[in-house]
Amino acid sequence: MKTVTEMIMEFATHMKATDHVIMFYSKPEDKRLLLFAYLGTGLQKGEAAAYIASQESPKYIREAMKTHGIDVDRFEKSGALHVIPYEDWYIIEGKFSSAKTTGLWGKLYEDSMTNGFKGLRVTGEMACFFENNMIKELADYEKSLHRVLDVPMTAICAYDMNLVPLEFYRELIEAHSNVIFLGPRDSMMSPA
Amino acid sequence: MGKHDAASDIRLILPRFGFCVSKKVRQPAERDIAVTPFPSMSAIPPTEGALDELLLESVHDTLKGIFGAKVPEAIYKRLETNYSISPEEIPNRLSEFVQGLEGLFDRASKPVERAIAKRLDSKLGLRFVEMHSLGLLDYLNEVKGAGKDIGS
Repeated sequence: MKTVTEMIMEFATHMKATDHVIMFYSKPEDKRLLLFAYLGTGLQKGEAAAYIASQESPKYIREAMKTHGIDVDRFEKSGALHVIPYEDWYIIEGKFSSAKTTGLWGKLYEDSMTNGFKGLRVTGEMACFFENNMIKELADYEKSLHRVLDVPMTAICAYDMNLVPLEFYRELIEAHSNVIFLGPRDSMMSPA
Repeated sequence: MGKHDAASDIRLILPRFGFCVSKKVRQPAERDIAVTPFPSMSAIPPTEGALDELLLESVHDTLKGIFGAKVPEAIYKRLETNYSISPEEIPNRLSEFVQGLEGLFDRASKPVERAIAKRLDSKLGLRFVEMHSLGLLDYLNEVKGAGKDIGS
């Protein structure tokens, strides 16, 4: 019988295009493990992948990916893997524009398809919105992406549950198709 | 709202069940919200069964309010798998339920506990004494202790 962690890993690695999943984690190592398995599976299948870093630096994420077994140099060189700082994607020059970020996702998808990749898997650490006091903007952005994404890519939005105010959980969860909780001693998955 | 002196005597009133108790409480921290005593009423505490039912309702309403309609079912399922607690057993196995919340939500479990206590409080018709350092277990002990004081 599969453990919950195994089931969650299987779900994350087999996500399909337009899936928009929210993940709450309490330990960064659990977050990395799940996100790297999710992105790594896509890369192995010939898909492109993007990781928007905010709680941990792009440099740290690249090193951690290497430790996890992802051939970062090769995938970056081929244009399959993008590890991007949040300042280039979400909060650009101190401002967040939902339209701009959505446009960047659309362009990345089109470029990936043009370059012959079979799909696009993305993930973003959302801590920067809390650190920059942009929670309302974040909730609006998540809702604008819809439970089923308009762009045929897969996405996992990663939230540090110790940063999220209680009153925002429901709004955030209801903007996604599925929710994953990676707690300190237990994990679970549910439809949103 | 003013602060209470250490071990000051306050009254917890349960209008819904029509009872009033006096209870010694420890001094609240600076940020705690102190309770304002209500005028006294007749003393009929809620039965254990009624309290359990209200607690269950409070747990479900709160989890649904915070996480939406579908997540509470998944939480109950995890509690059943990991702690062998069915939802109806929560009142009698509260410490395990709290452990289950901590295992899933880490530090966020404390605000969840307080939200449950607050919901129960409103169902009981109590004036909530929000102690930020305290959890659901402490709150239930206060409420149950208040009921025992009446009986003695």
